[in-house]
Order: sequence, then C-alpha cells, then structure tokens
Amino acid sequence: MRGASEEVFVLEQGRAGTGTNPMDLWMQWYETSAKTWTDVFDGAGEERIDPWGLYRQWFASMEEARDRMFGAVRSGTPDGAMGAPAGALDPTGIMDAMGVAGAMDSMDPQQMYHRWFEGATEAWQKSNQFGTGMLDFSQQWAGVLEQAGNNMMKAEGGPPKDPVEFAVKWYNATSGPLGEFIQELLEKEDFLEPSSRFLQNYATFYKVFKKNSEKHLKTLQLPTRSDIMRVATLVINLEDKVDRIEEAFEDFEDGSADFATNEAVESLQERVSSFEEKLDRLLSAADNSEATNKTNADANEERIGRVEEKLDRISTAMEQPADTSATDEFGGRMDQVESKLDQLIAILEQPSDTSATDNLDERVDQVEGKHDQLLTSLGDLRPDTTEPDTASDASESEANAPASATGTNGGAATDSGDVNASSAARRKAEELGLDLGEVQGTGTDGQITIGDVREKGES
Amino acid sequence: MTEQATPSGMEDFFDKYSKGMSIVVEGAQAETGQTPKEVVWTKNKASLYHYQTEAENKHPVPILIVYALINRPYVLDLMPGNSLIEYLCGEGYDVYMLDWGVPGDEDSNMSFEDYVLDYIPRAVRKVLRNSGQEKLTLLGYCMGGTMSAMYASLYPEKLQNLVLLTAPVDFDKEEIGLYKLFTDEKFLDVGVMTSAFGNIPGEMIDTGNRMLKPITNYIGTYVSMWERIFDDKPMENWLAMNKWVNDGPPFPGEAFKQWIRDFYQQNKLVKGEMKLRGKTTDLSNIEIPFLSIAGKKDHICTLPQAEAVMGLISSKDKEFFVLDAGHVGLLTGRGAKKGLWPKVSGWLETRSGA
Repeated sequence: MRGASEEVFVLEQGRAGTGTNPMDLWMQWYETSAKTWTDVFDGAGEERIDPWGLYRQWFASMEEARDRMFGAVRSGTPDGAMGAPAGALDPTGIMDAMGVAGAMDSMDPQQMYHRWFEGATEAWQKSNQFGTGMLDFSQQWAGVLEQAGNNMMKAEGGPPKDPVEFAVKWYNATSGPLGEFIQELLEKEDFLEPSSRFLQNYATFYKVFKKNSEKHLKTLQLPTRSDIMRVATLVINLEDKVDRIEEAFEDFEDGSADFATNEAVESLQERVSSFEEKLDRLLSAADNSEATNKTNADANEERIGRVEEKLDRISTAMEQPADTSATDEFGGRMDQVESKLDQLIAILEQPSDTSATDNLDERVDQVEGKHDQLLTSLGDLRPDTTEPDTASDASESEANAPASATGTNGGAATDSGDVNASSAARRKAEELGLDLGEVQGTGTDGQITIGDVREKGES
Repeated sequence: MTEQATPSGMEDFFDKYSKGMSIVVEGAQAETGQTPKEVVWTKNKASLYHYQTEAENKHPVPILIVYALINRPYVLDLMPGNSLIEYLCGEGYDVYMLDWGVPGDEDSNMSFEDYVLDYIPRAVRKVLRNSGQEKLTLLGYCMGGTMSAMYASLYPEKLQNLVLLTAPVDFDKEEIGLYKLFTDEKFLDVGVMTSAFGNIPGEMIDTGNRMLKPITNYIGTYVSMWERIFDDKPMENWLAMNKWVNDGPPFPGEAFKQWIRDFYQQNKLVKGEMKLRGKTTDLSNIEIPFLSIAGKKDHICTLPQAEAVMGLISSKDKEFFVLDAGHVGLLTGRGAKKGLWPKVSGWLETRSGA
C-alpha cells in the first residue's frame, strides 16, 4: 500500500511539476492521520474498552476529515477526472464520494491527504481487478489496521521492547474487532459481488488462455496437458478393470463353493477306468455274440462305440475341476451305471441265444439312455461345457425312448407309485424282496439308491 | 530489544528470527502420519490404510475412517501423542482409513457417485476381508461423514455402527453461516469454475474456508508462531498443523459442482432428493447404532448442520454429542485428548463386540 501510494505521488509529482519530496508528503499524511488517532483516543476514554466502537469512531473521524478536505477541493475545482468507481468496495463509502481535481495548485496537507487517498483507492481498485481476489482484500485491510496499530502503540507511549511482545499485544487488541469488521464487510453483497465477478472473469480468462495454449502446442506437435490427461485416464480405466477382476475373484473365493479335492477327482478317475474295463469286457462279449446275430452285434458294437465316445467326453469333463456336489452326484450316478453294466456283463457272458441278444439290445439302449442323462446332468452341472455334438444328439433321441420307457430316469416318478428310487435300486429291492417304502433314500432329492437298498438288505 | 543487545542475545534473536522467516517463506515442514500402517488396497489415487501398532486388538469390529475431499487425512494422525488414530489403536481397536489421495487433472470427472457407490463399498469389503469380520464401524469426518451417511443409507447391511465427526448433513441457508453467501448462485457459478479449472485448486477452497475467519487464519496463526519461537515453546504441533492447513489438494470438479449445487445451494440430502445413479439416499434407512459429534465453535460445519441428521435416521440407539471446540480443534490437541478421543472410544467399546 505504501509502495503504491508513493509511486502515485511520484507520478503526481511529475504532473504537478512541484519539487516536493514524496517521502515528505508521506510523512505529512502520516502525521495527519496519527493526529486523527490521537483525537480518537483523547475524545473517547470509555469507548476504548469497546474496540469495535473504537474502530467505528476512527473510521467516522477519517471520513469527517475526508469530507472536510473534499469540500475544500471541490470548492476549488469542479468534478473529478477519476470517474466514479464501480461498486462501493469500501464500506465507509469513501470511494463513492471521490471526485478528484485534475491539477492541484497548492500542496497543503489536506490536499496531500486527498491525493494519497486517490492513489490508495486506485491501487486498491487495480488490485481488485488484477490481483488475486479476496486474499488481497484482507491483506489491505490488515495493512490499514497495522497502521492503526502503530498509532495505537504511539498513543500508549512508545513501542514495546520486544517485537514479538508487540505483535501479540497488537493481535490481541485488534483481532476481535478486525475480524468482526471483515465479517461485516464480507457479508455485504457490495463486497462479494465484485469479488465474485473477479473470480468469474478470472476463470473465463483462464479457460481462454488454456484453450489457446493447447492450440499453440498442438501446432508445434507437442503433447499438451489434456493429452497427458487422456493417457492417465486410460491407465485409470485399466486399473479399474483390474480392480473389477480382483473383485470377481474375491466373490468367487468368498462364495460358498466347496472345491473338489484332488482325492475326489482321482477316485472318480479310478471308477471311470474300471468302468472302461467293464465296457471292454462288454465289447468282447458282444464280439462273442457275433456268431449268433451278426447284424445285432454290429449295431451293438456301433452303439457301444458311441457309449465309449460319450464316456470319453465324461472323463474329459471329469479332468476339469468341479465342485464337491457335482462329484458326489456323479458318484451316485456312477453307482447306478455300474450296477447296470454289471448286469449287462452278466447277461452277455451267458451263452447267448436270439432272445438274449434282443435283451442285450434293449439293455444297451438303456445304458445309452443312462449315459445321455448322465451327460445332460453333467452339462447342467457345468454350464460352460461345450454343447453336445449333433451326432450324439441323434443317438440320444434314439436311445431316450427305451430309457424313459423303462423309467431309468432317477428323478422321474415311477410306475410303482410315488416312491423315488433308481431302477437299479428297484431291481435290487425285488431281488432281496424288500419293500422300497421302507428304505430311506440318500440320493439326490431323497432318491433311493442301490446302496440304500443294499444297506437295508444287510440290516 | 535493548536487553538483547549483547552479542549472544542478538545471535539468539537472529536465530529465532530466521527460523520464523523460513517457516513463513518456505512453509512448515513436519513429520506427520507416523503411526505404522500398511496399504491394503489402492484404486486410482485412493488408498486404504490398515494401522498396525503393537497394541493388542481387543475389539473385533474394525473401524473404517472415511476422510473428506478437502485437506489431507493426516490430521487424524498428526503426530505421536497427538493422533486420534494412534489413540484408538492403543485402546485396542483395529483401525483402517480411506485416504482419497491427491486428485490429478484426469480426475475432474470424479463424482459423489464414484466415491459413495464404488470406492467406499470396495474399501468396506476390503476391510471386512482383511479383518475376517462380518461388519464394521464406519467413521466419517466432515464431508467424509456426509458421504458415510449416504453410504449407510444405501448399504446398511455391512455396518455395525455409524459415527460422524463434524459432518454437515443439513445445508439450510439459515444454518450455514457465511457459506450462504459464498456459495450463493449469484456469486458462485460452479459451471464456469469447473469448466475453466477442471479441478478446483486447493488454494481456492482454502481461501474460501479461511475467509470465514480471515484474521485468525491469516494473521493469528503467524502471531502464534512468533510467540512460540521467541518463548522457546515446542513448535512440533504448530508446524504439523500449519503444514496440514497449507496442504489442500484440489477438489475434483464434478464433485465440487455437486457439493455446491446439490448440498449448499439445493440442500437435497435432507429433503430426500439426493440421488446417486438413480438411487435415492434415504437417511431413514439408517437403523444401526449412531453417534454424531459436533463442535460448538465449528464454523465450517455448524451445530444445526450436524444435528439435523438426528431427526432423519431411524436408529433407536443414537446420540448427538457436542464439544466446546472448532472444526479442527475437535480432533487434535489437549482438548481432543480429554474430549473427542475418549468419547469415541467409550461409545464404541460396548458396540464393537463380535
């Protein structure tokens, strides 16, 4: 503030053409205002206790001084060259009334004071237009009050010995009222309006500047901030995807899925090989029956080939991890299939006649139907398994008929009422002469398995 | 100064003077956030810290602290002996904190949707996974509290307790003090600001907040500094606080727009109009044990702003606790040690069982 006002004085000096030292002018003003302060103290002993009142009084006396001087100037020269400042930035209304003489004849202290005010106000206005907004305001006011503080100190009889002691004293004496003062200033829309306008102007200017710089850099083939931003955005998006994958993994891990253990898979593999072995025997038995009925045997072989093919697919599926429930159910099904195969083998290994081969034919149909179901249920268990090929579809539809006709579907209701039992279990029950109604089912949906029947038979 | 005119006295004086000036010119340097911690998860600029002290963990339910988008979170772990986090760890709590980090230009599209619907839920999950617990205590500070309340209204199932510290919920024009003017549509066109700057610079946010108490913030702070230096008082806390005060990250543009428009200008949250990706944040969905702490002298989040939440939630076990402190004084310093810290710890003690 001081710097600015001195500068103005120097300029004024040039214009006015007088040889007065600007420092002298400053000192003169300083003394005048110091006197104002002394007046305040002298005239208001009680109000010293009320610092806010003190400041109000100080400003009132300042304004009075201004009015006096303003009157003096105006009587000499008509209207000001400065123009009416936009917006009453100063709550004391100083600026509103400012009208300044273009040239000044005399240099009496009042006029100097006036000039200083002009300079200070101009600096203030400029800083409001080009400065950094609200912060400048508070600093300026702090400057004003610092001056006030100096005077106050003078009135108290000399500066404190320690600068810190002084600062603390000064702060304690002024922070409250100054705070209130600024609070009041801030609450005035007159103050907020221009500072908000400043902020908006600044923002708009910044935007235009940014846009132009970008353009310029683009012409120079240089990457700009927004180019780097784009790359950063890509990295962030990528990271976001990784995070989502991680989340999906966590979902999987935290989910209730039990993992099939290695042992479970191994035991299944063992069973599949024993299954295969049996099928081999089945095949050789079918070869034996060739003599009896070659056509039948051929057809059977073909079918068994398909069965094997399907079994291969099953074992391929088995090699992928599956969860425990899947392997359990698979195990149950294997029981059924195996018992079926056992019967089949027993039949085939008997000396064959035509009726036997017919029977075999039917049985193989059943087995095939079973396998189809097995495949279907495996498919159900693992939704991502590749869809069955069309070749096996054909055989499936062909094989399904006898399979469902004999009711081998484990879950389906059977002819013997509402007892839910596998056909193997039924046969076993017949064999042992057991009533299925008395057997407790442990299979899927409470289905009675051959194991259950065996257990019942043994008990 | 006369008695300091001896050579040693002068030397001492200049030492102190240069110490003070270097702080004024270069800014305060201080070691902050010293409680040992591990980074459990990061996403973009955000990090989730898990504090690991030697203290025995006595309370199974972990605490997740959600910080604000204004200023940095180390104010909660300022220095050894002056740290809410250190205190809670010492009391046997398992403490986590979500630090939003310092947003870059590329984050100007970050919005409350991202924070409340993506980041906080992920952090909650990470905490639960890391601690092996089913539920946690969510503790939100300032704007982080506002976000925590919104989260709790949408996803209450993973929360055991909700604690808000000086969290504004109601932005009624009569209750927000000077912000009423600062954030008025007439004076603040957020669209112009965000389209120009992208993110709102930290200094600008800081200026707004400081102008609520300009003299104290711009001058008082430094008077207190000189006083401390010349009286040979310990400077550590002052330095740490000053570093924190001047360490404001930019405010992501989109979130700033929402913060001003949806909260300050339109006060949507209490009206039940606040929507995040089409989901209404209905505070009456909050039924869990609830504690809100506010400061009598807080001019950033005034008492009525924080208190309004009490009438909006459905919790039966709820408490509004008032301390005789300001927005930051509540968290740190001597007052906090006797006020906020034991209150939080004591309240949680009976509510943090397995």
